[in-house]
Amino acid sequence: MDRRYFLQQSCGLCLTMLMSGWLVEELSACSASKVLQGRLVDREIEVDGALLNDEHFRVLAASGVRYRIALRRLADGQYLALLLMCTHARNPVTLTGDSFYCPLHGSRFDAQGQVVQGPAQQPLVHLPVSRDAQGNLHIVLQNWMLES
Amino acid sequence: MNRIMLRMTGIAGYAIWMCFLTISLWAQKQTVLTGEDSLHQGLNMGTSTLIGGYGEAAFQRDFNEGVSHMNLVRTVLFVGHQFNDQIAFFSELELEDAKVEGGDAGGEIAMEQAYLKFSSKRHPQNYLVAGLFIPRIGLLNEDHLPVNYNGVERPLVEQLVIPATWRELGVGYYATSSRWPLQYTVAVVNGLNAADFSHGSGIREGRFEGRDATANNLAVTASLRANPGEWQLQVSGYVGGTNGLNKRASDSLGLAHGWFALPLYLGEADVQYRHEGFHAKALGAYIRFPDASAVNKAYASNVASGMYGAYVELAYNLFARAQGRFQHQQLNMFARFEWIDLNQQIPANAIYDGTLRQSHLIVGLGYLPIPNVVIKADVRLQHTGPQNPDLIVNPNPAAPPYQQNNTFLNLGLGYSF
Repeated sequence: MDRRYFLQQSCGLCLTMLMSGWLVEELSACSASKVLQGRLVDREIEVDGALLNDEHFRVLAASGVRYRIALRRLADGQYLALLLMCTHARNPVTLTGDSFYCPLHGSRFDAQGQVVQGPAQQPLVHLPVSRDAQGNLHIVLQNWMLES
Repeated sequence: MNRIMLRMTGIAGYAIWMCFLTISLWAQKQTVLTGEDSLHQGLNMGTSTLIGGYGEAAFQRDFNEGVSHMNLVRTVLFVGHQFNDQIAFFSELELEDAKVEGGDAGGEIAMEQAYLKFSSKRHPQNYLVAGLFIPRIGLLNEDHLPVNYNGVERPLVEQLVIPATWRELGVGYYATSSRWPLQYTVAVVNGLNAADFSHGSGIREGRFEGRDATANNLAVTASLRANPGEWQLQVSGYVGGTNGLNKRASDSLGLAHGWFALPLYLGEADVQYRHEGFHAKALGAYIRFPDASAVNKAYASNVASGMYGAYVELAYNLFARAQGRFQHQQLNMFARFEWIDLNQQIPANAIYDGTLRQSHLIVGLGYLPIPNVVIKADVRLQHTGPQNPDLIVNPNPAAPPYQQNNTFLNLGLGYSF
């Protein structure tokens, strides 16, 4: 076997293994933030507040709701809920770290839902969140956010 | 005297552009949009029509040639319509170079996209598109708005190797994993036309772009994208037949025919990282066209069997930590290095062209007073391999000698909404 070919192949294999290992580790860490399932009651989504044990966004879905919701506990104990719908062409947006990206036209939003990259011009829709005595969170929706 | 005149012409060009650049633009203060507000903003679901668009204008000074040009590069109009919760239409109509006139070179009016989108009822993040659409190959192809990339010119790798914006007719499926931060796409589209591949432009001229595409040959493209934390990793690929002729015509040219005849393979990988105003990205793409020899024999087109391109870009928003007036503005400083070789591998019946082995260093700034408007300035240093004497049609002094190094100054404006 040609020495140069052997070195190229070996280095390529090592690099691929390193990248794969890192990716699996990173994605495993992300699996902790897999989609939470909430329960739709009238126009509210109910979810266990204890599931938000840090200040990172968690993605919440509920049967009967058109879009997913990014939910986060803030440092002051309040909660932030953002509708994962791009305000440009209503395409679902993706959580990327602590920001949001719309793959349809490239709009990007920061952790508060503000636009950092167009073509969107309006921030993500903020949803009111309240916490009941049992520790459950209630996210209030508008009618148009529900499946018709 | 001539040199002085040329300089003055260049300076006049800069002056006009500086007038554009000094137009005062006020940052819009962004507010919180509540669910109630969204009703007033017309974001409620149901039937509605969206109008948007983007555009860009550019000035370029070519220092070797001593000429400057200004151009309204593209003006694009989006029109979309939401029929109901599941079905929507989206289109992009593009005018390039401001006008199209019979008999004049340049200028183009084209549909860049026109497709129907069918969203899953239970998982709206998963959807099918059908019509003329842009598959997810590379970064710029799908996300090509001027406010979203650094530099006046689009990355050259994503013009010459990945021929963005590369749209074809077909059906595509876009999905997001429920469990992992993964997105994937799969699409079947019409294939390319090898008869139109031309020396020096890669596979770009072989795109049908929705106009009378041959459907005897097909292509499959797919992508996988992961978003672990502040990283984005993507791989994408394309495999497609490049001969849409029927059996009789193919036989007469000595070419294979069928859905995936004269296959072309394109592989691409990219990675991005964003953190507090810092943005790094790297992309590499390789094209393999094993039947280039048969195509050269049939069409005398001197195409290559292997091409590649790669770039690395580092950028930082100097206003990332700004407060007050500049808090929502961006001043992105960037540097990008690109490598391209459009004849990395050639068949025995092709002629090597050193000028297609290129490197480009682009350094510049982009100022966004709001996320939808950008003012750009950059310098591109170009280096190519030497010209092959066998390819010189007009030798010196009929034509000036080829220069392997050149410098370009670019200024630009862009918007999207």
